Amino acid sequence: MNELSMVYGMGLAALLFLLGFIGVVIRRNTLFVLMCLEIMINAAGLAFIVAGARWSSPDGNTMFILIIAVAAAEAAIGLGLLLQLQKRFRTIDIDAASEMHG
Amino acid sequence: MPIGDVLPEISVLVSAVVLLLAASFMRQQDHWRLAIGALASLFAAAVLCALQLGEPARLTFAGVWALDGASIWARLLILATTAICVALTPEWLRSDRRHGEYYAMLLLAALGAMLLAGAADLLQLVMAVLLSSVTGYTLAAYHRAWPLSVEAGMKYFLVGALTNTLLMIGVTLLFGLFGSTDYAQIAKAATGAPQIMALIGLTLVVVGVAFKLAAVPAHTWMPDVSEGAPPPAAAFLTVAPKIGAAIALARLVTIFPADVVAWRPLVATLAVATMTIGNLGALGQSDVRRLLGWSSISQSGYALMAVTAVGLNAQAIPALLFFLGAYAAANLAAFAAVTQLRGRTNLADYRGLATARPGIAAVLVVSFLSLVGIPPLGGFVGKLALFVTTIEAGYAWLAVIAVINTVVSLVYYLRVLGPVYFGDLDGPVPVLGGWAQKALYLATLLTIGLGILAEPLWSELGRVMLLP
Repeated sequence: MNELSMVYGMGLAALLFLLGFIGVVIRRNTLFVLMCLEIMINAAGLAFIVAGARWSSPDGNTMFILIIAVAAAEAAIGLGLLLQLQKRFRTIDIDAASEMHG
Repeated sequence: MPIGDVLPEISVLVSAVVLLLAASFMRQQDHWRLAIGALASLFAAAVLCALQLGEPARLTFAGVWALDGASIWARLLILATTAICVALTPEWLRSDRRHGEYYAMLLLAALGAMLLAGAADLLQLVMAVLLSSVTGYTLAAYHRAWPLSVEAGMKYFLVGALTNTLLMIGVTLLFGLFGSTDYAQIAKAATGAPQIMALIGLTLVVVGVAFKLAAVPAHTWMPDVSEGAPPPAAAFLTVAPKIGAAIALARLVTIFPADVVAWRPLVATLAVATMTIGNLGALGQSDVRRLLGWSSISQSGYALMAVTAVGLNAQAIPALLFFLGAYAAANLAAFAAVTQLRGRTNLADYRGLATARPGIAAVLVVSFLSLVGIPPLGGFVGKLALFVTTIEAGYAWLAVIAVINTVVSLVYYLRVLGPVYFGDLDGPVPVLGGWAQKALYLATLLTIGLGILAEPLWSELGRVMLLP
């Protein structure tokens, strides 16, 4: 892969990451926060593929598959927690669950 | 790559699966028997792990897995911690419908922490952090009918998911720079690297590991988890992942030459911030479990001092291991006392505890004094070793700040012990009894024993190596 397309690839990954990050910070709806986290993880996956292509090594693709699996596991737990949040607090607003502080 | 090198891990994994299957076919009333199974499998794994002590330190599985003194001792410590946490559980979850599954989840979380301690490859590090995280979220939210537990799980999850993503980005950066995820390969390539990019990548990875260590900037989950999670799970989550993460961090940072990538100032800053913020957070607490969470953060800060000194002083890793052992024993004793008291957490409810339950009050005294570092308890030897190591490594200012923090920490521990001994008792003090009580006294004995038997242990730990 030549230098130019690598810059594009990394640029896209950075953009996706930023998009996800902003979403995590400003969104209050837990479902959207989970989606934004997925976008961030996918940005990391894309960056892995670009980095793997730079070194012409299959490691990048291996890691991408791994990250997809990991993201799925994490999303499953996140959605499970989301369901419980909805059951206990009757809302999925992140700020609702703040009985503990200090 | 002889399969025998990961036998302890395989045995933990297999028994977790067996326990999960058994839990689905057994009657709920019989689920406590699975605790015996979990203890037996942890013992077997510990024996397999101890057998590795005699072998020479080496990297196996194509350099992914480190089999050195640091990893073996840390894994033994994690197994012992998990065993005490298993023993705390049967009475606590007696009426829970999913009692049996808890042990499977606990073993998988322990497996994640063990993998952290041996990780010698960035990919292995990611896997270990994630395994110990996803199981941790479940453990924290195990009382799903109780809003505080769900809230603790959700907060833990949100901080965790964010820092895990940062960890992955950091790993990507390092992989992109050096073309390998293997620690030994990175160490070779790191000498001529663009410094600033390598430092950014390393910082992101350190943030990811700091989440497991409950160190600044990813410490915010710890007080919530220790307050909201079931106390046996909180006991585990405040100790086991930390042991793995501290060793993983020490192993990770040492591959970078300190003059090319300035990681020592980074870790030292995190250490100061972590111990200070932890102590300040604990000062005003009127909730004992939350107080223990904040104190646990400050203890991570002390552990980071040893990581700062790794590579400058050969005693840094032995000191770190001893400190972690003493911290684990004392913190488990404290959480065991809370569990034994059926999870009572409001400071006002601890008034006059010494009249009603002198045994538990004595345990609280021993564990808190060990956390402060009063001789002759284990925590004293651990902290002394840390301070001496840090000063000899040329970071005297760091040791001074740690000493000031230790003095401050005495205040909030005494704020709990004062009412326990000088308050007036109101109402009966029900306890859990049974296994939890035995675990409570075992952890206390370990706290005292580590202090008394410090010398032979120290000479044994002195030979410990850290690869690569």
